[in-house]
Amino acid sequence: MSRRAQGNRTPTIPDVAALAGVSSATAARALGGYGSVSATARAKVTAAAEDLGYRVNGVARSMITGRTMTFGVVVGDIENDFFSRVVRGFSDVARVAGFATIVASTDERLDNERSAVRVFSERRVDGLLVAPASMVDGRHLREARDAGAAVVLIDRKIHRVGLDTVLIDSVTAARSAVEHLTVQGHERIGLITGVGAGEGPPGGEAAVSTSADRLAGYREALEAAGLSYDPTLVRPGDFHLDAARSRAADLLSSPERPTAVFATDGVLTLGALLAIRDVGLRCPEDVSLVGFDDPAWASVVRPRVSVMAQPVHELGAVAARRLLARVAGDASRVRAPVKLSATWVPRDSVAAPSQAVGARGTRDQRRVGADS
Amino acid sequence: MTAAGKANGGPVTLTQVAASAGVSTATAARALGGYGSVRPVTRDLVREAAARLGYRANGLARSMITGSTRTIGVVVSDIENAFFSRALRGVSGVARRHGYEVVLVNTDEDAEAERTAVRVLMERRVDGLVVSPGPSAGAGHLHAVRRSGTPLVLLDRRIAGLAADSVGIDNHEAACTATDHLLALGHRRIALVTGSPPGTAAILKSRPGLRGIEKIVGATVGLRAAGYRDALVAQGVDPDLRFVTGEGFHLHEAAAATRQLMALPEPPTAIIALDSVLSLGVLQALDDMQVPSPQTVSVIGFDDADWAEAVSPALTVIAQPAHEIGETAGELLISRIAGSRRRPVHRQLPTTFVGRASTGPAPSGEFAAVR
Repeated sequence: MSRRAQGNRTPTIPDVAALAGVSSATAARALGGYGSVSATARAKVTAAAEDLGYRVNGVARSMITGRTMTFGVVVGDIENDFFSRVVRGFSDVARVAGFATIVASTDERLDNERSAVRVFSERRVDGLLVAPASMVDGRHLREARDAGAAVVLIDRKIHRVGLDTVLIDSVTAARSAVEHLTVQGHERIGLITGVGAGEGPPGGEAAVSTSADRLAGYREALEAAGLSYDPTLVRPGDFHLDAARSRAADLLSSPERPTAVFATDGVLTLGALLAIRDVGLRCPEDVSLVGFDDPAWASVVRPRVSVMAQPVHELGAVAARRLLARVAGDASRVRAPVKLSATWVPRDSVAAPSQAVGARGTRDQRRVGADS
Repeated sequence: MTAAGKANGGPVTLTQVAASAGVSTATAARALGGYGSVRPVTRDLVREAAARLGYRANGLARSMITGSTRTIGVVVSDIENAFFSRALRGVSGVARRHGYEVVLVNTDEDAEAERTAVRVLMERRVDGLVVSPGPSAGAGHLHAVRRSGTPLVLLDRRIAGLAADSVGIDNHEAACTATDHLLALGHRRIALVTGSPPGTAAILKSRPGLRGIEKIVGATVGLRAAGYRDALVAQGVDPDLRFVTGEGFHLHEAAAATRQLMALPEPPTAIIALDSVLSLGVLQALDDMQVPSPQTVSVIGFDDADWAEAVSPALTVIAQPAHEIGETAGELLISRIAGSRRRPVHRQLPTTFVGRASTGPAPSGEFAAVR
């Protein structure tokens, strides 16, 4: 299959040594970067290696040094602004410490996640940063750790998995986001959220903890405002833009449509914003919108979207420092997840509900409130 | 599965490895087992012999024995850019269909990071590489990939003298199309936000009339700047170097470049931004300065990001078929991994002009003044 396997066309240390006119031992020392080699010999070996296209075998070298100086990152969707910024925060810290970062994107599928973790683990990455696609199945991650890689979870947790975890407090953040709607008098608040790609083999459909937590926060906010939970207003699905857009359009086309929408990540927020226009409604006059995450476009669209912003760069950086500590030999017990806080960024997409749709009581209440 | 292993009709033995490395069997066992005392030099020689002969010591050694890791490495300069994220999805889809994993390294347009990324992926023994070369990393690391025999496909750019397949668009023509659109609307003071680092921008601006720029500035920037130049010259407009900016590829840097452009005594009436992140930076700066678009300044971007129709004004763009470019790169790479030895191919896929609200007629006073 590969040309390397056929007739030894891949240059070897003795080939390099012969061309450089040094012994194999000297060539090996020069290429491996250990032991004592004269500057002249090193230069000859380097030149010969380059001429021949000799490749240091990282797998072999890692068996010697025990380190590959590489971290593997496994996320649901690297296209998602949230993940690309978290990875940037992570790799900035890792790079300073001398570690390269390699990323795999799983399309939120547990089977893809398992195989990415296996590939990274076989290739002996020193550490793994994973945003798990499932909040219940973490066996492959524990196995990777038991095989020698440090593992830190980012953004999402797995029940009773016993791995370091760095995330935001999603319940509190979602509750606070929705309270910015209830306080304006909204009573019918739609939820556009994600559950995973929902395709693939059995077990591939898996809920992620952020979605579960943000749903819990949404329900807490409703309860605190004395509103009942209406499951017909909750539209879970995958995390892709087009699907989110049609879920939101469907929700907003229903006779008992909500007067406000809360979307639980940046892509879903864009889907909801486009859907409001698709069905011919105005934001915030007809429908208020609260988003999650703060992608760069959120302040350039009209209306500018009010969002609950995560400290994306810091999430990645904190996770990198945890992973570096583990790689350096920190064997302390895994503690409770590190929880960072989200920040409310008020812009122009939230207003009190209009009188036009199913919110008469709210409007009256608001008047009372305004008069008192 | 190696030639040696096959020839013997059975698994390679430790004794054969030891003989090939010129050491005792006990030493070979220690070297491969990772226990006891073995000099590093001996260890390397034994392990290399094991790899060469196809000795299966354990799972870890397997990848270096079979030579196949069923993994493709992708190196891009900025994953937040809509072009690269969609191209990556295209590559990944094709790779998965053929049973390959994709691993990605994002270089943030840093030359050293790009060289490191290629080295790290080569050391991890990927079966093939898709690389979007940055403007300043040079080609030495890519020539090294070719010499190693590892299949390589370039995304977005081809490199003269490098025998590797490439997939992209006709950058010169795409920039001509964008510039022609603005010229037809009466614009004459048209700025170019290149996203180049200041050093590259200084080179661009060192060439009167941007002459010969495509020969000295690499990546897509040189070709797009040349397309911009040729479209202007064809309409009798001298390229004004004050209108050519390069503050860096980040959004805030494009915003800063825009503020500088608008602070000129005679600011531009139109801006071309060479990727989606830059476009958003331009729009954000105009919005902050309360400069109405397209009434005062028209904006045209490259790459049709998801948000392009949601921003205000909705953004006119030159759309690249990014997903298809990624798929094509993936297919070329898979065919090379499967052993195709045809001459390198350079595929150019067509772009699409998507007219939206951010481009309009040049302000009437300006148009009169030009006449």
